[in-house]
Amino acid sequence: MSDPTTATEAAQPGTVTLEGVRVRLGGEAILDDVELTIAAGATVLLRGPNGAGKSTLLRAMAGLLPFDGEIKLFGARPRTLEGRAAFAFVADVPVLFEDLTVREHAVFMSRAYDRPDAEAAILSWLERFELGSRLDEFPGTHSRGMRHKTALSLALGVAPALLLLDEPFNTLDADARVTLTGALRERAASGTVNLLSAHEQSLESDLDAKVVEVRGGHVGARRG
Amino acid sequence: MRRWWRCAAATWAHVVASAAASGGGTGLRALERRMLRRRLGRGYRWVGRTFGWSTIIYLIFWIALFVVGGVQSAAPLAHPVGASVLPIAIDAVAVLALVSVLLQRTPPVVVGRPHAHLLGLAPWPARRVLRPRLLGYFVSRVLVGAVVGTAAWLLVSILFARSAPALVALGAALWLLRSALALLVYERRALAWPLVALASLLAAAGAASGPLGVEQGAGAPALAAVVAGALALLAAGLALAYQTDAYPSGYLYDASVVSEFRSAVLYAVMTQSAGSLRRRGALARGGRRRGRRAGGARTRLPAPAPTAGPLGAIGWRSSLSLLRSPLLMKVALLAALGYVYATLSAGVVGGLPLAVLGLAAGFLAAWLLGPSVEPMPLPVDAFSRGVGRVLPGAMASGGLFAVLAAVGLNRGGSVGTSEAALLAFALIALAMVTLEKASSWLHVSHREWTTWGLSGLLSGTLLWILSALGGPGTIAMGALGLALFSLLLLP
Repeated sequence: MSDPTTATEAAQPGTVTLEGVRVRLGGEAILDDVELTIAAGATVLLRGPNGAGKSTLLRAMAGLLPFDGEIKLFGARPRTLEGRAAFAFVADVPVLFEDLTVREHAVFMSRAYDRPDAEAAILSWLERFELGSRLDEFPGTHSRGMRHKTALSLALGVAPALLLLDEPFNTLDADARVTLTGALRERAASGTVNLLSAHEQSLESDLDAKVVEVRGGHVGARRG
Repeated sequence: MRRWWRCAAATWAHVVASAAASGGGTGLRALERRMLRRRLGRGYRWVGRTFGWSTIIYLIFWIALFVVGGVQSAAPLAHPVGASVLPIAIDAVAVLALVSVLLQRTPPVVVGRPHAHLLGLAPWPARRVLRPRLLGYFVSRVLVGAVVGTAAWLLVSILFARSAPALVALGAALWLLRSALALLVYERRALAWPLVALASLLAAAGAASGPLGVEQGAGAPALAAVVAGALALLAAGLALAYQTDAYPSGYLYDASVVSEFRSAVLYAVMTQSAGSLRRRGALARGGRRRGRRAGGARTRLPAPAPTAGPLGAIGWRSSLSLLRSPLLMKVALLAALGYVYATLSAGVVGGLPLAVLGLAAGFLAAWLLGPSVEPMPLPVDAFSRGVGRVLPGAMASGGLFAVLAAVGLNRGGSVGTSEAALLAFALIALAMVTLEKASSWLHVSHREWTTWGLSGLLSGTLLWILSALGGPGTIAMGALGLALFSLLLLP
């Protein structure tokens, strides 16, 4: 079986590629010369100490930070319409619209991604995350874990080709962790890509993930 | 990040050393100085990055040149400046409104050394600790406003030999209502209600005096216009009162830094004081009015068709946002729009007053424009984003103007009802489009006064320029063309 993550492969269709990616914030290099290629169907786990650059890498891939170099998400740049349609990003502090209820988030996201079937999928994920009885509430009244579940349901429901998750397991309860683990395995089996940062050692085997070490702004040796 | 930590560590060392040397006071003073220095530095860098200091200096040079030229070319007084106290007072409080907006902070204080002590160490409610600062804030604002207002009144009277009673009354009532509602939040009802009454009187007086820039006493206004003016002022005040924006992020950052140094207790109290003082009243009012349990939705709108796409999604969300705004604010917005129509129908279709009216349009646009999709990275193109955010508010205002024109409301000016309606619609639409683009490009909330102020001034100025090309019809069509061009072609 070929390795789904390499630092040297040429960009192929159906892959996520980062070439010479460099992110500088406040004059300081947070990421330096990052090379990464992720094939379809892979789950990649970014691991490293706090401040290593994992979140920065994910944010750069989501087009939320300026960067030098080249990031291609299935052939498209992150800030283009095609690029944005290819991924969903869940930050470590989930971003939700405070003026919309949870159910309205499902409506809004399915139309925004122009995927008519996504509304039902999002509602289904919300049920699986045990938020079915809280659909008509505003997320501002929910706990951080509940907000995280909502954000994850939205991301899973729109079923993007690439899912970017920044420490998604941190605030989840035990049941939700099992649900999310299952969801990520299902996605990988269907050929989509998951890229997440996490610290838990057990995730590598739970998700059958490939580990990419991020340390001091460099993507280092790979295990798994 | 490393630099931040180095900086924090150095400050902490300095604080500890100072505290050891002088019993704590010097260290906290150093902290306070550092907070203020950082705030100033951040503001300086933001201005430099956003506008460029050389550009600002260049603009200041030309503005100064124009002001000097304008003063030198001013015609002599047509009649002596009256010594009436009322216009002076009205102008003074009008400028207060401007100063109030410019100096806006929530809560309107910088936490100083004694307050940091009390907040951090004493088990007192933050409001009690901050009360002297809050009172000082209100008093200083009144004094500064009175001085600046008097100077402005003198300048306007000398340069233009006329007053703008409706405009100044608008500002006066806006400020008074805002202060009154702020006082209500601080449970000072005995002071708040007289202020509301005074604001209503000023509103009626302003509306009765004539439209923007028209000489005082030139023509008797219709009763409808008086009512529209009064409601417009109420509108502006209520809109401001319902602002429940988050605490300024820069301050929270400072508060966090202090908390790193002082203790988790200080952080907890400051965070509590940060958002709660102002928001508490609004939330309590909202909750009681809605009669619903916390977190539940109160207004629903049928979902757009599954195939509606991003345009449908954003348009739906903008409509929902308009529908969910508080009832009083909706009434207030409609009244304010009516006031814009009434002013334009009185014949103010050119000149400086139109540019000033643009500012009011910018303010209204801020409340009519749909919410932004930032910071979510959604696959939404600029056209869908722009049209989706602008269309619901524009349609609502257009509908109102059409009704006003059909009713035949006219303040007796040279502009016809349909022309006034078209002109008002064009002004609001242009302000909304400009605001949408400005907030998207600058990544700033459309309800920041800097954004809506800039957009309003730009829209008013564009209409002013267009007024050189023809009458109301030409101005309106030109403005609508500009708005459409921006929506279709600009990113």
